[in-house]
Amino acid sequence: MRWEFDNTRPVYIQLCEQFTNAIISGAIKPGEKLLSVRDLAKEAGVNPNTMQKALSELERNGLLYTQRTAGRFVTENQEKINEIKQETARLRVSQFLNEMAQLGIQPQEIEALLAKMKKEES
Amino acid sequence: MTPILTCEHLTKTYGIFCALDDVSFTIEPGKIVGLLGENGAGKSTLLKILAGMLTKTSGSAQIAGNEPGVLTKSYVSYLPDKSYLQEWMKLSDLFTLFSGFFADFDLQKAQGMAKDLGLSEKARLKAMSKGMQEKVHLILTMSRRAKLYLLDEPIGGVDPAARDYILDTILTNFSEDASILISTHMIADVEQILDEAIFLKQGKLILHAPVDELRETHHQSVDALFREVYRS
Amino acid sequence: MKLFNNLFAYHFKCTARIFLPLVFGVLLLAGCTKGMESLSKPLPFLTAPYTFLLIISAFCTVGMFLCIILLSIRHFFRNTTSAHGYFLFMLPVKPSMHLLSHLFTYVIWLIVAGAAAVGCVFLLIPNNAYAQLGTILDQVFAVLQINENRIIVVLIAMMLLSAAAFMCTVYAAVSIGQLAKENRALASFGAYMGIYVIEQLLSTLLMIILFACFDLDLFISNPVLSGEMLFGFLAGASILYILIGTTSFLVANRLFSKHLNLI
Repeated sequence: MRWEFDNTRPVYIQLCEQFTNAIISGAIKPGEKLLSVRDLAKEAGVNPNTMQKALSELERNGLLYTQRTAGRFVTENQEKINEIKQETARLRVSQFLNEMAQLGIQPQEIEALLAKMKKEES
Repeated sequence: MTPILTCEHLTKTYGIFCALDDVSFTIEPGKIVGLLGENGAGKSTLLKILAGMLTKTSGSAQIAGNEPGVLTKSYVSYLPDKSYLQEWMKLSDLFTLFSGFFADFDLQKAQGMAKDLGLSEKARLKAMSKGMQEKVHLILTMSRRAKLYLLDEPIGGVDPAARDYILDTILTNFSEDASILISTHMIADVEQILDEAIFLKQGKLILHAPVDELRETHHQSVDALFREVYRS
Repeated sequence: MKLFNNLFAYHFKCTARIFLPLVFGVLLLAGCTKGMESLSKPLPFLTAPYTFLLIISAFCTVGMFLCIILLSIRHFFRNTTSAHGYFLFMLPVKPSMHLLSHLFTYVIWLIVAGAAAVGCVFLLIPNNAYAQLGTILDQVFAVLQINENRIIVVLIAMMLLSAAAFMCTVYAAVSIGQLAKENRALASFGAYMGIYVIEQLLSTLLMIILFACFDLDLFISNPVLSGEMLFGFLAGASILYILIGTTSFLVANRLFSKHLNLI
């Protein structure tokens, strides 16, 4: 059971992304306790040092915190989570808009398309 | 932190043929390092010198402060690339054998791993498939609480399922005080678990760097980078 | 000490797989021959097959020793030059310990074979010849004027010593042969030939020195073999074997320690 990685990019960055996505989507709940570095690394199929680096990075970003004897937890700070969620959304949207622009599709067209698709759904 | 392995100008020649040419590098404890190169690059030769199977021609190698010898063999666990145990032996015989000779052999761990594989201790090596034999070899090697593990082509010639098992076992047995040096020519399969990579080409060390750093700098997988470097 | 025990147990188990059936087989053959002998009295047509079996049995008894020597050499060679060598040389054990454990296993098997051979001789000797054997032995001992108990022990010890010295020279030869990158068996054989030549030269030299020192012209012109002379000869030979064995052992130990070449 191992996670998929793109070997052309640093693995620890991809681990950061995967954890961030899981946290902002709610797959991993705020305050949830994480497995040990070794267990996580084994589950992911990556080097424990790489996993440690990723987790340290997430701690730096404020998404995780360590309690000395208890272990590693997801932050309970919902504001922080939302902040990162917003940042991620912004990043993805601007990437999307860039891609669309390269196809020659303008933001107004996209807005109209979104409204149309929403109407079709309901 | 004192390095667990230091090689300085390590050279091995057979007459005019140079198997290892002035190889120098250091490995800190707690690292999984890939020794990467094509067949005949000198990977096996390097591991054998470190394991004390071959004597170097010149240079020095220090494992936790000692030259390869009787003392280092008590804390270095070596997995050869060939089948090296008596085929008629049962698994229980092998466990007894290793327990008797290696003070750092963890019998319970080995028995546990064998159980996970569904292996009976009465099974003889010669009755097992090649893939299963490789797994048994790995169990014996990784059940030692060594400071340095030298694995020579542990995933060469096995099916993908066995390969995954082997890589998982390596990760499970990871310890911060020990380091693992894995030699392979199947880079793509193993690069995900590596901390650092050492490239060997025709006996020379052409690169030694952390794996994520290589990816960040060159924007390609270690496998692709190796092919590129090797072609030049 | 524990390490030596473990090594010996390992070598013994590996070799016992072939040697035990061999020894038992030879004993069984001798037993069958004896049975055949007893049967050939009431059934005279069995006399010819019995004689045939007797000859085969005798050859096998001698062959048993040859097998043990050759297979012990093979066992050592495989353990130091083939993949099996990886196991032994990855152990935290000094090379001298490896040599000693191999040598010890070999000597033990020679003793076992020796005991079996004695058993075979007793079984193979025709029923009516037992009494004659005793008489012959007494006569031999009387002529040589020697104390029979002492000489048997010394003779056996010397044979074992000679066998052990021989094996040590094989170890030295293999330790030289393993330095080669290819054709290591051939290189070992070549090295053994070299060692053999040196051994013979030294033995001859020793002989010449002895002749010069002990004024043996008298002995040659008037050969009377006394018990003391025999003893002196055996003692001299023993010293020679010890010298050869020790030197070979030291050479092998040095080469396996400092120039191991397990490809």
